[in-house]
Order: sequence, then C-alpha cells, then structure tokens
Amino acid sequence: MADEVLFELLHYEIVSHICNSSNEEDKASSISKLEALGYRIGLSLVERLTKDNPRFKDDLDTMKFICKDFWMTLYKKQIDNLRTNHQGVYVLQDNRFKLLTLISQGKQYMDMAPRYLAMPCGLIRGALSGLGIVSVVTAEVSAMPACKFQIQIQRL
Amino acid sequence: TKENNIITYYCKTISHRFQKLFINIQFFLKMCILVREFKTVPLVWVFSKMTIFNLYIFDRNGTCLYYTEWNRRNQSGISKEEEFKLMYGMILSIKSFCSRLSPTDLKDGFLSYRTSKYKLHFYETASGLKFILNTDINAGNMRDNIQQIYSNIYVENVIKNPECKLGQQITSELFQTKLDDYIRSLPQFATKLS
Repeated sequence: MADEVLFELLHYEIVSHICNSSNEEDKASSISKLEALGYRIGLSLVERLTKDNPRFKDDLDTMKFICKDFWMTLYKKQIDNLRTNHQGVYVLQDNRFKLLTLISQGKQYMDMAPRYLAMPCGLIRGALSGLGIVSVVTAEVSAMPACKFQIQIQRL
Repeated sequence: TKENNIITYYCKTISHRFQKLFINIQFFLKMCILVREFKTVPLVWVFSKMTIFNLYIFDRNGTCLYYTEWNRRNQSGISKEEEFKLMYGMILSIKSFCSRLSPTDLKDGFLSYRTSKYKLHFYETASGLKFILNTDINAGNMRDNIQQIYSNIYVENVIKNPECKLGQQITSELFQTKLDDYIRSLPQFATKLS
C-alpha cells in the first residue's frame, strides 16, 4: 500500500513542479516535458517486464500486453476496454484511472486533467517503442475518473 | 337464568381482558420488531431526537479549512469568518484551561463539552488538525467517527488530491459529497426517527 502512495505523491509533485514554473516558455512546454519523462520510463520499464517473454506475434498481442501486464504493474489494475479499427488505431479505456480518482468524480478540475495524463501517455508510447512500434498517444477525458488513451501506430 | 347471566358476564369480562392483553402483546411484538430493525442502535436513539448540527475543520494555524452544517436552526448572527475565529479561540482557550487545571497527567486532553441543548466533540490529530463536531446531547462518543472522517475522508480525498492546496479552504466536490454521505449514514443523524 505504502509504495503505491509513494509513486502517486511523487507523480503529483513532478507534475506540479514542472507545470507551476514561473517561466512562460517552460509553461508552454511543460506537457511535452512530462510526456518525454514518461517515454523514458516506459522504454526502460518494458525492457524489464518482458525479459522473460518471447517476441509478440503482432500489434494486437502487444496491445494486450500493454492492457494487462503493463497496466497492472503501473496502476494495479487492467485496462477496462480495448478497441481497434484494425488499421493501426487502438483505444484503451480505463473507467477508474488511478491518478484521477482522488482528484474528482465529475466535471470539477477538468482543465487540470491533461497534466496528469501526459506522463501516462508517454509511458505507453515509450513501452510501445521499446517493443518496436512507433506511435502517437493522446488521452481524452469526458468525465473524471474515466479516461481514454488513443494510440495511433505510425507505419514506416 | 341468574347463574347463566353471571357466567356470560364473566365470559365477557374475561374475553375483554384477554383482548386487552392480546393488544398489549401485539404492541410489544411490534416494538420488538422495530428495535430489531435497528439492531445496532440502542433504544434511546430510536425514541429520542438525534441529530448532527455542524462540522468545523481547522488547521494548525487556525485557518478554517472546511465548514458545513446540516440541521442548524440557530445562526450566530455574525459573519462566518468571525464565527470561525470565535470558535478557534474558544477551543484554544479550553485546551490550555484543561491542561492547566488537570490534577493528573492529561492523556487525550479536551474531548467534548455538553450544554443543555447540544454537545461539542473535539478531536485533534498529531499534525494539529482540529475537528469540531456539534451534535445533540444524546449522541454518544463520536471520537471514532471523527477519526474515520479524518483517516478515510480527509486524508484520502484532500491530502492525496494534488488540486487541494494545503492550508487553504477545501473546494473539492468529491470531498464534500463523501463527507456528506458519511455523516448522513451515521445512526446519530437520524432526525426522521423521532
């Protein structure tokens, strides 16, 4: 229990440290900074998690890994819903995203949501990139604490 | 015929008495069922007016972090800020008063006081947070309940919420609804039962 709290509090502090900078330039780039942090963490984390796994057979298999094992490691639960259009777009829906549940359960503080989702987006992008998939990850919140992560795979 | 009359008379009175007894038994059984429904609630609580009036949360420096009221019928007639100052001042005075006048070593310090109309419960955390809950005089010990409010509602929804700045008024709607639900679920909040 205590270790989860530690991670949450640290995450919140990193967010407020980066987002509440007095410098105007820093403010504009704060979201991308958080995303870059998440990318680096995701990249190394996925390497650790898959050290005993063989190679995944396709993209969908990789996504399932992200939804189950990866999310379990990060937030002690699985993604609630995974959808795809079979053309490289995947939507991961978490109905009770851990970092948002304590902030609000409704529309209050909606404008703050992107701050707390930037690093998770980076985490997913980093993990996928570690598994050889280049992607763009965006997040979307309609009412807290539910949120959707959209993953768009970039074909090279 | 005279004997017959007497017998019917006796029969009537006896049946009448039995009827009364029967009604009494029925009433008793109904009461038993009523009490059983409120298994955990002592009889006094069912038949007396129970209610929770209001709650203040002060931080270490005397800022009122949160105030809310449920069944308060009598307003103080001064602005809320003035009232918070008055309340905090009084609590501070009572605390020092208790510690000075205590003939033995104090353990928990000031816990509650009671007037003819209401009872004030006080709980202070290790970090200096003060919870003040006013109930009517029949509410028993509320210490565990306030402890619950602190550990399950305040810590979870205010301390862990990065949007709630420490040392400022609590604006989180989540905290407000959680607290309201908790207080309304308490047996001490039973205004309708009286």
